[in-house]
Amino acid sequence: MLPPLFTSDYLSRLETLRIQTRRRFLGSRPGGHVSLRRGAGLEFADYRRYTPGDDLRYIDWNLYGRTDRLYIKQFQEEEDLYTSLFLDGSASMAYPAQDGKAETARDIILSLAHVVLASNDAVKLSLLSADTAAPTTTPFFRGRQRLGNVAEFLDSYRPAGRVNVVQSLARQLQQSHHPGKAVWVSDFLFPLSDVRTGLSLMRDANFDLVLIQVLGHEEIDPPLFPSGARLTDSESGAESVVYFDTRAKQTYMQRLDRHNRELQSSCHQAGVHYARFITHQDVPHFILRELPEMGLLM
Amino acid sequence: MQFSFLSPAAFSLLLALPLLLVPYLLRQRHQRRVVPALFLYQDISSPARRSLWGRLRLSPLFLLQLLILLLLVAIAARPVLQYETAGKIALVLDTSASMQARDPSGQTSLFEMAKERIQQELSDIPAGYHISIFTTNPLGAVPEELLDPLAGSADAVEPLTVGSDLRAVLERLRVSDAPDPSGAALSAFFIRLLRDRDFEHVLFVTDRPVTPPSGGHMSGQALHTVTLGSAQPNIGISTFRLYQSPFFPDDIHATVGIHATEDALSQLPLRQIVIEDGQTQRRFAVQQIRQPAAQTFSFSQLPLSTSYRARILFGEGEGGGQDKDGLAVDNEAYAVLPPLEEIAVLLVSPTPEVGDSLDQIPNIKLTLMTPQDYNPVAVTSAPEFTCVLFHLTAPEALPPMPAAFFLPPDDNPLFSLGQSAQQPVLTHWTHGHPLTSYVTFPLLIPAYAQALRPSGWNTPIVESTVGPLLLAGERAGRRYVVTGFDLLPYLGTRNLPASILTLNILGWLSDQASQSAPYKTGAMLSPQENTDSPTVPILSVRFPQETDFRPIERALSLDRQGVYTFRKDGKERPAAVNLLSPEETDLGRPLSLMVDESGEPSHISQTDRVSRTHERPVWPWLLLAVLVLCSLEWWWVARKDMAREQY
Repeated sequence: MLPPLFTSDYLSRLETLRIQTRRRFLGSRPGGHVSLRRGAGLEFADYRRYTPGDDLRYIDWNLYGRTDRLYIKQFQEEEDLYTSLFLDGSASMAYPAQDGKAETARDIILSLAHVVLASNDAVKLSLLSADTAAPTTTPFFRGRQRLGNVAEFLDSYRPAGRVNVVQSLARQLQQSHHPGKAVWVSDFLFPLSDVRTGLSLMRDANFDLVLIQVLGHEEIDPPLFPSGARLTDSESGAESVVYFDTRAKQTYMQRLDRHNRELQSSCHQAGVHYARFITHQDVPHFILRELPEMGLLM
Repeated sequence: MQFSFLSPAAFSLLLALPLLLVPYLLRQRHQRRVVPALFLYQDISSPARRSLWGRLRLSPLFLLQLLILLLLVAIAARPVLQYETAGKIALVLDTSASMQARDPSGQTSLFEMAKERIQQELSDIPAGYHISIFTTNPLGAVPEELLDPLAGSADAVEPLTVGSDLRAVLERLRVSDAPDPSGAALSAFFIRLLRDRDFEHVLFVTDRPVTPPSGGHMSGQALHTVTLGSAQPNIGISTFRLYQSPFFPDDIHATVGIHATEDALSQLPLRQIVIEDGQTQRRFAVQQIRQPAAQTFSFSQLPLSTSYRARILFGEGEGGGQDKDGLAVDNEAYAVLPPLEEIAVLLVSPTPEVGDSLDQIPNIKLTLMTPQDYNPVAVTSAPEFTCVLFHLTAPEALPPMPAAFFLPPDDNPLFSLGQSAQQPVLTHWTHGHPLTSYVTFPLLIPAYAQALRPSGWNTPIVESTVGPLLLAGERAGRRYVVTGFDLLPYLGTRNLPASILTLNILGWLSDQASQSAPYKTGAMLSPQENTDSPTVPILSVRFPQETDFRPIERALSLDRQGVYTFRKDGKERPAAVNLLSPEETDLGRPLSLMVDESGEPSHISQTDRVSRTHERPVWPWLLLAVLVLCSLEWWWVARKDMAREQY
């Protein structure tokens, strides 16, 4: 069952988009993306000397006239693209509850999955969760008819527990994977060292990575509770009494801003696309406008 | 105006106010909130907030609660606003007719004595008091829906101050011809003065002794009464009535009732009764009255006129002996001739067909009824009957209207019967009585008669060889005639003496009924309240003297004797207004006025405070403020709870 956001109109507009990569990857089937493999594509790649058995249709007769040597024209092969979508399943995605961070992240993942499936590319979802018993990854799906499978997998998405991002990523990458496009959706409200390690793992896995940070509106502008409150970390369960007055809120805002800037800087250094989405924003606008402007979609 | 507390000890409750902090100090169980990442909040609070007093955050709600508690403590201390007002005294002057009486010396009147006494009382009152003067006439007689009785005393509009010239104000006061108001009306009036009008003292100057009740509502220090001395002996007119038979319209009769006390009879020789109609004057010599009771004198063949005045004289001259009488106002009375109207007669007889013979009498409307059909309640509630004739029957009780009884049966409960006889001879009849006028009694020979025994209220008019055969008298203001022989059927000229006697009886009964609505002085007339009453505007006071009347708002006070001319539906109609009050005439034995309480001493104490401190409680306003603040607190808490639930 698709979420209410996914109307037929929205799905139609998503189908006009394609995943854009900054690098070339080997595919397994003919597709719409220029592959590393040379073959019968439309885009000229190189010449090589003719050897017996080559297809005579690819001999460049003009070059033969000038050089009296037979050369065969080579073309870039166009193949499909493997796209891996990583979704943060830690408990922090469930808070603030009224902001619906998890639902927003789910809608973004599902939108991107439909873009991939509509392009006849392969998409796989990986859930970075603490529960190792439950299925945390899907096989590569192809074809838009598999959108239901993707949605069914996401129906069980319930952020909970404390997730070691590095371990979870490593575990996902150890399983079968194909290099290609990767999108990591999380609130990234964990230590930046873990983020950097995760980025390294992704880069080692030869992914063209995009980070989408989903934050709740109340995380950006939290309400005051100057009379104090006992705050509990959603993942670790650690508690602390905080008197969140105006001054404390100012400090909080500075910390969050610094954290986000450092996250963005790390992405920049790692050559990773970075996008931020606040829950009160419009998901279709983010998918259909902002991501194409960033070069993630085309 | 001063603000003070009646129970300042309640402010000791302020010591308990710090207890309000306890809930705030104990409120250490902070609300729990789950945040995505706690590291953003670590060590974010200022160190001062972590201390005990730093954690004690006194929100505006605390200030609100503190204010509520302070107000409650203030309410417990009973705050009052104290202000002082000048003392108020009400001088109530009896202006009834008896105040016109002369004192024993004959030099001055009781009313003048009352004025002097008021001047004397005022001289004893300390300066600073506000004084209002009221009169008792009109008072009480004013219908509540028409007029505030207090407003009726026009002299009380502007309060005076002790020390100001009261003589001019007192000179304006007039004594009326009206009788005293009732004790209940006076009591209600005094209570209104003391309670509603906030007077501290009421000084009542009157000629009547005031009887205090066993338990009154007013304190003894509030009501002071001054009873003036006795007056000269007095004789006055108690009734003055005119009679015009519908069957002989030109023959005018009059009766004048004289009321005198024993001491007055011995000192005042009543000599003449004068009846005048504005043009002619007829004097009648009066024999000396010997009995100290009301006595009625009858006069016949008066000239036809619309209004008459009766006066009593104690000497031979025009004003002879008047100075010896205590009260002059009751020495005269007025009457107007009632209009000739058709007489509605109810005949109750076991043989009602005999009543058909009465139809030949002009101006009579006859209704026949058998004794079985006679219902006293129904007849009483039907006011169209002028009189009722009981023929050969008698009811259980006297009917509430003029009635004649022709030969009542032996077992009737009303009259005692004596010896019976066939064709008795009439031996004696009262001369000059309307019932015996023009009757040739020697020719009146009843076929059968039964003697009557007079009782206390009736007297024999016609007597025979077997005893009285015709009794007449008044009871409860109504006339009754009983005959010991049968006057029916009415034979007209065939039995002239019996017919004339029948007409005399009908005329006497109907004439009394036509004068059943005289006006008394002190009455209040309203143009709206009674359509049967003559209505204002009054055109003039025509006879016999210039009468000063005083319209009061929508009502008219008839506080002067005289003949008033009213206009109703474009027609003028005279009406006589008389005092005719034996209580006012009886100066030597004045009626005690029953008021709630009289105070002693009868003067205002010099030690009384000139001003009076009033206390107006403030706690209702503070309580209202507490309720408002509680509502504000409730709204505040509800709003916070709602915001917390949304978070």
